[in-house]
Amino acid sequence: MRQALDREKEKALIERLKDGERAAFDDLVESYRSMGFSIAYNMAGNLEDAKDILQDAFIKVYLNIRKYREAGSFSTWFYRIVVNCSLDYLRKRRVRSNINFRPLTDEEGREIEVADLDSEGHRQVLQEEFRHCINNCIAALPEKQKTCFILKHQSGFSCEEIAGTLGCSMSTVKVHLFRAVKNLQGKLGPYIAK
Amino acid sequence: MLRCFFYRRKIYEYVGSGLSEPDKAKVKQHLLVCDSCRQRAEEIKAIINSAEEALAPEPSDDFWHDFKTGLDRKLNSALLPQFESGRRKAPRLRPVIAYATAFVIVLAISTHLYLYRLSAINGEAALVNEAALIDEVNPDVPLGQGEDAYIEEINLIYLLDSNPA
Repeated sequence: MRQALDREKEKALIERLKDGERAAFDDLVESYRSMGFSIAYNMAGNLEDAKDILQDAFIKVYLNIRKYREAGSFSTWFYRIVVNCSLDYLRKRRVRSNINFRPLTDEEGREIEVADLDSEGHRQVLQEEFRHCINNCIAALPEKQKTCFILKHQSGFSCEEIAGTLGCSMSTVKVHLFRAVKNLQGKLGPYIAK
Repeated sequence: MLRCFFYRRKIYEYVGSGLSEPDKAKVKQHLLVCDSCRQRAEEIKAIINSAEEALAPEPSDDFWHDFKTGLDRKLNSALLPQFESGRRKAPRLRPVIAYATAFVIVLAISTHLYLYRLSAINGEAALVNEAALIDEVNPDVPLGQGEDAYIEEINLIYLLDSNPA
């Protein structure tokens, strides 16, 4: 996880923000938007939703900055807000991820001819398709598994940082990660074998 | 098979470099001899690699410009209710007008009923008076024959009533 600002600068910025200085908010947005965007985008899967999520998260930061206690890291507090906003947004959007694996049979049940897998071009197409499938499968994971998996493997958090962000123990994070990978493997394993 | 059960939980951490060196060596040793676990490790590695490759795109300057504009607009909207609740509340006119209208209507109806009742009472009294006067009129005066005389007689009685002396 990247640290957007060093501790001293972060503290000064938050003090200014607590005093209601709007310019401090702009500086904060500038410093944290990239990392927040990475989480929001990976959770939502598209730019527009990521933008809405991140805007909501920054508004919550502005309105609740007085509730932030300096004992904890601001980054962790902020990332927790982004994750919660993402989950709220996804619940509202009622995402129903349709996992569309390439059918091995057509509509009438006849087997579809599979092209030569050894050709380089086809391999690239398959890789792209596999990536698309992975994103769909990640989106279809249960909330906590998805959050842990995205934070670990797409936003670069350590297990400890995930535990801090989600407010749970490291063991819980590891269990969620293990289950997430097991679920993904269950859905994508046969696809990989091909 | 029993060994596989124990190693299966470690494979994910092995692939994700989350194991201590001694554990890593043990898992590595097992993968060399177990085809099933090795295949599992390869699948997990493929999944994680693909997931990690699917990084968020770097947004353009236009995106961030729109983002900031939208954020400022949303923030202002969020702050507006707080600002309004902080201000002294002006008296709300709507309920006052509604109550006043209802009061005026009730007052008008009551006044009308009261006046109607008064006029009715007065009218009744006038009729009684008139009847009494008619009774006092000389029965010798035939009705229809000398109405002027009849009215003259009533006027005379009125005059006597108003000037008893």
